[in-house]
Amino acid sequence: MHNNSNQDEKVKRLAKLLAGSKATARLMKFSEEEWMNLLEGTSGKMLDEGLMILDEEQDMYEEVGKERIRKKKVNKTRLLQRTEKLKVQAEELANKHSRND
Amino acid sequence: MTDSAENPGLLPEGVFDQVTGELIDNSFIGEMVLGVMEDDPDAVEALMMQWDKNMVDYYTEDGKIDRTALMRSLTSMEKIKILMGDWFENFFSEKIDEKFDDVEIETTTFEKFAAAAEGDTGPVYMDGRNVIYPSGSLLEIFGSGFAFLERMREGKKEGIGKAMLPVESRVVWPRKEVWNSTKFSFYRKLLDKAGVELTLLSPGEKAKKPKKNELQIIYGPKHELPLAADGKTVDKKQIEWFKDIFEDKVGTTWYLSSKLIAGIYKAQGMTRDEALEEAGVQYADKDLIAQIDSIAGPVAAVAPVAPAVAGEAPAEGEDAVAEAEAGEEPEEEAEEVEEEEEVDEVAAEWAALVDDGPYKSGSVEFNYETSEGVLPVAFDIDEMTINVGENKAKIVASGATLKSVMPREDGNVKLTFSKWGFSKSKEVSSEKLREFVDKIAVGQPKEIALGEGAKLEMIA
Repeated sequence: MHNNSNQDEKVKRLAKLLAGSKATARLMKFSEEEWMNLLEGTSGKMLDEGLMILDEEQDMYEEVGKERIRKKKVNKTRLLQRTEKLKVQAEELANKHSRND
Repeated sequence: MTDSAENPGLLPEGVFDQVTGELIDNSFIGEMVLGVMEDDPDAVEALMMQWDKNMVDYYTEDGKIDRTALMRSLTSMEKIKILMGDWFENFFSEKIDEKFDDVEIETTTFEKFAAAAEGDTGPVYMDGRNVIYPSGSLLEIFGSGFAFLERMREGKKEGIGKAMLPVESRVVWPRKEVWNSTKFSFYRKLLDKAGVELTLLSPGEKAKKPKKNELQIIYGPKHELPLAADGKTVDKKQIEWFKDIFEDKVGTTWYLSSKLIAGIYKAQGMTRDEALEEAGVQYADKDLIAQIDSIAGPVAAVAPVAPAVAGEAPAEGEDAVAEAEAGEEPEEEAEEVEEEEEVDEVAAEWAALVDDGPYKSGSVEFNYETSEGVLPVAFDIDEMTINVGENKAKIVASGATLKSVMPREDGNVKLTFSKWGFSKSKEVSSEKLREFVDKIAVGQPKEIALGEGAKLEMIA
């Protein structure tokens, strides 16, 4: 009984991942319900392998997302640094001109 | 090979593309991909081809896979796709094993399938061996194999259905990617389970006669004609390869594309307009015209042979015609050229007809030696009749209309018929023509078979 419900859970989770997977969208574009139909009766080993790959895909998006956030932070910091540098240079030039006057 | 290539576990975590910033590697999925690659390199190669990546670029000089180069060239998304492609292969295999007993499998040849097809789904025979099949109906035979998958997808548990699988046939399939795609991996598994041997032929490979349990797929060009690297002109080697297949005696070849046939005709030596017309291409835009124009005809020109009316009949049959068109018998041609010096007036009239042809309307008139003496003969294209002296015979060709009459130098006459927007040609040899004209001249028998369903009906 427990095994069956565990299997059902895996089928549901894999069907959801398959329907939402960008990697499989071009290979096989089916709805979550259609995947549920196809996955019915699939062996546990097959389900586990599919889940492992698609979990990796999800992790990949997280990593890419994190990397994008990190890059944005770095870029913003650099932009701020450059702006500060320009500000200082502008102030120095202004002071120089005022001394010359 | 580098240390990291020897041990993929040493590959750095999170390698990012310097230009796009996209993650191109993380070691865990990288290792899995390398595992798949070792188990089934063909499947990986097929996927990579779709991304315009060539596996040849990732082999070291000693023939081993340069793992580092390969891993760095693949994005993480591509790696996931490779893994999922492999997973689908195993998944389909398991599903087919599980449900196969519920599926009614029938194998059939394209010939039998075509014979059962009626109306506008029917094939168009170009000659005895090459057939253009309207794509929708040719896909039907493949589609029935997918019905099994579709019914499972819809949640049907009982009566999964019937799958009709083609055997003992060969077909030029226009896109290489299709047979490498994931959905077709289901079809390949189904063929395998049903005991049908699938042979995929790429340009340059020699075709053999399909076995009783074999389906041959000849990879057709991505764009209907095989294009060179410039994307505008036709690749010479590839069109020659398709021409060889078109001309070989291996068996019937089925095509989805009339444009490819036009290219083959041009390579055989026809003019552009003849090639397009004979292949039944309905519309040629400027790109297609430029592509066809870029195909050169055979180097050795076909030397003229004495017209049949002068008393010399050429070799009979389609094979002989093909050989003559391809210029394969230069020695005999040389002898026959000498005989042409004796051409009489009737033959001279025929030669003039050949120069002015093909004829697409009106009446093609000439004098012809019959058993009743020299009689005026007229092919009336609009009326679809052949008049010999006072007698007349109607050409009946299963509802097709006579589109053109092309007198040939060798004394043959090529009749082109049109039906459902497709063209079909019938080459009447000079000997047969003489026989028909003789029979019409005496008004007997009432019906004369022309072959392939066409006939002459005597009009009183």
